[in-house]
Amino acid sequence: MDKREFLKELGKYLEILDEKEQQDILDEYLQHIEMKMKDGMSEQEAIKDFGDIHELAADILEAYHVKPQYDGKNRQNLMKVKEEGKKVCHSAAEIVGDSCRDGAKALKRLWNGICDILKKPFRLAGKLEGKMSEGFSSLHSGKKESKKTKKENGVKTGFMMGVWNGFKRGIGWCVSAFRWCMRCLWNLFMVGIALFSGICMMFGILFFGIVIVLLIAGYPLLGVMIMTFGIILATGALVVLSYCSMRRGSKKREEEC
Amino acid sequence: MNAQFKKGVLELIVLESVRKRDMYGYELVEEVSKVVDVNEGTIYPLLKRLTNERYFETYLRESTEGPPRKYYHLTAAGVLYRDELEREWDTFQENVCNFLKEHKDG
Repeated sequence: MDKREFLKELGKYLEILDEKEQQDILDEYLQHIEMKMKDGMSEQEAIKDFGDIHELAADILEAYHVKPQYDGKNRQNLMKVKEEGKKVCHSAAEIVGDSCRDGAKALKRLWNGICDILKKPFRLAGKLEGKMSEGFSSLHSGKKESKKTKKENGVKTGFMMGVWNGFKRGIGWCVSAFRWCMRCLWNLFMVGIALFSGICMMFGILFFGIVIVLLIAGYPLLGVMIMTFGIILATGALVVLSYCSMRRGSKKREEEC
Repeated sequence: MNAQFKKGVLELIVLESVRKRDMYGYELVEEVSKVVDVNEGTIYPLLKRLTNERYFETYLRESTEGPPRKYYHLTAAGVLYRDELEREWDTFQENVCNFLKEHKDG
């Protein structure tokens, strides 16, 4: 038996232990064998000095308060249990994945609904403007006809039409200026929210870092850490939401066209 | 020598060896082998256990030959534990000696 075989064999007995711990032990034995060889002993002799490998493994496991009987047979059982565990994990993961997908779909629907509601005022404003100009134009045509029948003065009608057109254009400007102001206000409001939640998020991250350091130092701050993480997620989501809700001029122009 | 005898005092010998100066595994095995003839393999689990029970601290130090070595250092708890073991050992071997002497004389 050479040292690789020996370590492999020993490793089999120690499978129950933590991966890092196993490696630690095996490294120690490997070093021991190598030092013996450096002192002039052969590899076989150095390994023989350890005695029965089963007893050695039992001694090691005893130091970890593990039953030394934990060998071959149990290992097979352990493998079975592992397989079972894997299966359970897989099915659980599938269930979780499915429900996540469904949840995401529902969220998307909800988001679309919210977007619709948020967009409604703008659409209404657009409709109102359309109606207003329609109304004005019908009023204008009515006036024109009455004037035509009353006076039939082409020059005067032309003059009136000019005035009326100017007036109409003025109203159109007023409406678009009003809409522009509304959009500006809305965007300012959203920028405000985004900035505010962004700053909150920054502080959240800072606090999160501090909490993690304290947690590692041994303070019982797991709850606070999770809470801070939640706050970071929430404020981050708020930033994205307010950014998405901003009304951009170019979009508006496209809609107008 | 009776294996049960060895097992009992091995802990005390290991603790005492490391108390004088920090040692790495192989060095410690050699040191202990001077006193009791013991299977080298069984000292490593003992070191592991004493480390897990916080009587030893370990640290790595580079060596001129081969990979870095893991050194064992006796902690304050280890010193206390060693002193307690020594007291126990003293009374134990005194009692046994007295008992044997009485029987020889008697």
